[in-house]
Amino acid sequence: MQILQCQNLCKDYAIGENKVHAIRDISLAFEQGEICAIRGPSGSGKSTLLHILGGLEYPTSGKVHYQNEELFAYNDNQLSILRRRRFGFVFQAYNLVQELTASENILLPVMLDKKMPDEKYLAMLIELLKLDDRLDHLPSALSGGQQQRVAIARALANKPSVLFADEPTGNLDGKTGREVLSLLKYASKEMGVTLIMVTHDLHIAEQAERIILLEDGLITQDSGQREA
Amino acid sequence: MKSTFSLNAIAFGNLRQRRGQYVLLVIGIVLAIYFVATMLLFASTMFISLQERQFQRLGEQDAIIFNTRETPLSELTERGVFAEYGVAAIQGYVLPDGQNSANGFSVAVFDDVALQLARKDVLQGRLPVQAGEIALEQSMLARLRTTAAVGDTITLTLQIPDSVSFMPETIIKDYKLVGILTDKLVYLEQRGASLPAYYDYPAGVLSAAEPLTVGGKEVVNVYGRYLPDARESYTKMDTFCAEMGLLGKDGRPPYDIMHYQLFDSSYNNSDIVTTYVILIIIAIVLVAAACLGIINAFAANLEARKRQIGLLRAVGATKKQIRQIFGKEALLLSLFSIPLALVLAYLTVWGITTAMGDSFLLRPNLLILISVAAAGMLCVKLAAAIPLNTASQVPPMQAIRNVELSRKIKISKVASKKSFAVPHLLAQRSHTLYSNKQAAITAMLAVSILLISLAVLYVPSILEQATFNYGSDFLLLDYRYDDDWLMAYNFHTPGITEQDRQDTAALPTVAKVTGEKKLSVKILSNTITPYVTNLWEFEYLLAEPRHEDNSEYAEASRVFKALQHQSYLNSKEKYGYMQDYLTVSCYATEADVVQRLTPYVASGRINLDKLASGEEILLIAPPEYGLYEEQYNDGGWTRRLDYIPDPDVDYQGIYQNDMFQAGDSLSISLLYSDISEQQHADGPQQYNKDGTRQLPEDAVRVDKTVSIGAILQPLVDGKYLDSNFSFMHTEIGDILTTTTGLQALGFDVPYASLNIMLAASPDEVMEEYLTANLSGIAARTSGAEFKSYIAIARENRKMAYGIVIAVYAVLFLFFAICTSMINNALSARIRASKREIGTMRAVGASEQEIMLTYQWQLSVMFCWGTIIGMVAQLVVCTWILSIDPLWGRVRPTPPVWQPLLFVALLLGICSLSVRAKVGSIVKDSIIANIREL
Repeated sequence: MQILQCQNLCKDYAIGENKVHAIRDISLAFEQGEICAIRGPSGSGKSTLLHILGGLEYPTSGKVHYQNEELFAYNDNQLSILRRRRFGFVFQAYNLVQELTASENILLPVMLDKKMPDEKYLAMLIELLKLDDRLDHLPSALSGGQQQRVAIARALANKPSVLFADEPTGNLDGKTGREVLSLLKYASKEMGVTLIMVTHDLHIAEQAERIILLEDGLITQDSGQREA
Repeated sequence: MKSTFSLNAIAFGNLRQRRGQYVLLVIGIVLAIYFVATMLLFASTMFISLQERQFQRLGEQDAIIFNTRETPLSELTERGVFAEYGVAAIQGYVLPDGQNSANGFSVAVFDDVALQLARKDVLQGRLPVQAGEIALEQSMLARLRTTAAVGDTITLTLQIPDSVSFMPETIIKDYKLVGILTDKLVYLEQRGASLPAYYDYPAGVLSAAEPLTVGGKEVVNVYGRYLPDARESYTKMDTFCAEMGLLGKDGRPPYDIMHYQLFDSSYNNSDIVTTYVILIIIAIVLVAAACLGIINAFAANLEARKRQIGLLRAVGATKKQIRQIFGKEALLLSLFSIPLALVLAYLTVWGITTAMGDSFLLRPNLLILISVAAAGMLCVKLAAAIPLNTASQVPPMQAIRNVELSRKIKISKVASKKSFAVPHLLAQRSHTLYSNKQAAITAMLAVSILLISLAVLYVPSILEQATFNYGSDFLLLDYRYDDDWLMAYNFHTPGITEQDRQDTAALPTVAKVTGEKKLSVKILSNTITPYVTNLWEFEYLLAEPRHEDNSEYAEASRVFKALQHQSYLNSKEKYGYMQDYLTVSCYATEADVVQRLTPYVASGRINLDKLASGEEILLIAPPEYGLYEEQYNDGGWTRRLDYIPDPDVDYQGIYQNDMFQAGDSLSISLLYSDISEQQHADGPQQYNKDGTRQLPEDAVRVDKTVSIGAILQPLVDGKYLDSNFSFMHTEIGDILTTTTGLQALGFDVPYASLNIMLAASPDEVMEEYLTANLSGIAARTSGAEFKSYIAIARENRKMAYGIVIAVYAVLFLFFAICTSMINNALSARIRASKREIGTMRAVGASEQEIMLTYQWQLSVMFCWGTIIGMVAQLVVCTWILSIDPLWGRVRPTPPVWQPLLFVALLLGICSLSVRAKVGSIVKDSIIANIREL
């Protein structure tokens, strides 16, 4: 079942008097539970594509549908609710709220949704991400790998349908990177979450079931579903 | 690429690159220096103005030693009593009417130093240079009742001193009036009556060539200026006088000290001093606030550059170098700000002093300006030192990686929450983690609230003073202190006469002149009841003194009262009083004023004809009164009366009027003597060796029998009887009649006061004319005071409006500083949180929730400041209200809604600013925010 589609997505940036076409006429569809890597060299538009798919940025033209609903037809409030309930984000720079502890960061989307946390599920998540002994620490007291694990936990806390990961291992050493990737894959498989990740690293991309190659804002290759 | 690089380059570079932040910093510094400068300039202006006012009125001498006789005066400087001195040799004492010493004054030869110290400034003409010439203080011409002008010849009758007393014969001498001098004697006399020649401040100047009358002996007064250490001079002057045998008739050294002190209680500077104190307190608070503002601005600035500091330290900059870089910035900023602040401060003080009237002198003083600049620099340096020191202490890695938060969260023992509202938790966490950065804002808010409350408390009473109705336009007043319970002394001293009254009434635009008179008379009675014996003024009647408190003075008081009673018994015997007597005041005023007292009649009626004929009088006696004792904190106590007893008060006793009834016949007696101050320097009241009063042989007793026309109550419907008079202050038992009635009784005395009411508000020329003429009439009587209520009310208004404008300006500035500080802090926080805002939005927080997060932070920030401020203001205002005797019985309550309104307004403005700032960040795409850092 297709969960996310985009049609004819374009995104232009104005730099001075020049216009930069970050992505050009991209149309894609993602299946539920699919693990997809968007690969490409720096400046190819892969992060822009991910941000537009996740509703973090508006496209210049084109449409994004989540479960057949037009994403950008939502107002700001509806889009915020969608992000907190259905999407999860993992960034390269972790992007944790510095004043909140690890556990509070994890609970953030749940609390924004004013829901009672699913204690059992969260405990499982924390155990899975090996964060038990770091829960009361502020992000500044955690290592890069730990911070990224908190970010993953936060992204999964509300049981999202789609997990967007923007260079999730970019700031991590090889071993930690691999661990984080395994976790993302595990979560995706265990919970049926669609994982769309951006990476410029071929080895990381090869872990995905589907690899989309972006060059100069255009899809130059889409492997389609394959065995990772 | 630049090949030379220095710390200065970094400092200058910072200034160039961060213009926006530095504008705020410069504003803070300008405010701080401005307040320091304003404070010091104002202090200097006040000091100079007060000093000059005293010098103009009393002269520049620190002390005058009277009648130094044969004392070797050179020792005064040799022994360090004075730094310099001048001599005035009194040659004679002028008798204005040719016979009587009343209203007289002395004339003397002044040396140059004495002329300069005594400030015998010439208004017209010149100082005398040859024999037969004289210069007189302006008011002395009025005392002589002459219209002589400069160049005219005046004839003076003089008593000539002969070293002990005066030569038996007065002499009459013609002088050419060559100069008119500024008044001194009239002001000096207000400090204490002067005595002919031997203890007098000469008001006439003769030339050094003036020959001394044969047989006479000059009385030499010394005008001295103290050494820099005034206290030492003062002590030495005492020793000097004692060693030289210089003692007055009262046994004390014969000198008068005028040494200028700001808080000299003997001289009425209360208006200026009050203003001075209030403004200084406000200025100190403002300086503290401005320093807080600078600390806050520097801290916000350095916080934003923590990473830069960390990097500088990581590449090897020492703590000292960090301090130098940022210290230089502060220095550069203050160098730019100082001239601006000084000009603003000068203009402000000029504005305030101009608004407050002519009595203020603003003199630009280079020393003050330099010290102000130095003080300002110091203020900035101190204010900047605190955040600078903190910033330089930060370890490099801590500055680069934000580990400070973790440390703080450990110290603060913050536990993770299992369930929370995101905006609340973030606001609460910010408060916990950034409490040090909020301390200044909390303090500032608290001080603002306190300041506003004080303003709210004081401004109405200041404005009330400005609109106070004195009841008349001008007043001539002649206080007499020579009456007491025993008799009226100095009875025939001339005072304000009927002629003065007529002259006053004849002046243009004068609509009405109301005269009031006062003398002491005795009510003779066989039945003395507790209705009067409980009143302290009649305690001499009691054989057994009432029990006093247990203070150390109790015994002395008991002995004094016993002696007083003995004196009373002696006086009855000596002057033949068979009955007891109550010495009361007998007041007289115009018939129409008396007529208006009808609402106060408790019994009987006011019959003006019978009052005028001397058949009847009016008597003040409430039907009953409640008596209670009020204990002071220092152990002292006082007895107080309630003319209308309050059922809620536990009185020591309520006393009914069982002594005086309307229609009763009343025996009154006047007992007077002509013993005057001229005979006894320490007052006409003299004591025998056993401590009882001396009973003068020359005493005259005049008895009258009248009937009580009406009994008057002192208080009706909350309005006091005395509010109908300008001078009279009535007590139980006092008698009231008309001026004609007083004459008919044969007790006539000069006027104690003349109230002058004008038909219309005078223009400037007319006011000047009236003031000159009325001053002249007042000057005819020694010790008489002239008050222009028109001028006083105008000055009061100017002063009050000036103060109120200054207060509101200060409050407005405070409001501005508060707003800028809070905005600074929040802007810095919001700027630094751009990425977090992006993250929050990515995680699903709506714009509303982000906004709420900062609104909550703002509210928490305000919360503490408001609570502390409100508690502080309630405590301070309650304390002020409990100690300040200026408040009447209906005291205001500490203000509540006004400071809260201030907080609400401030919160509203800051809230709008937060909305605008957060809104502009939220408008950017989430990714733009996340990428920001």
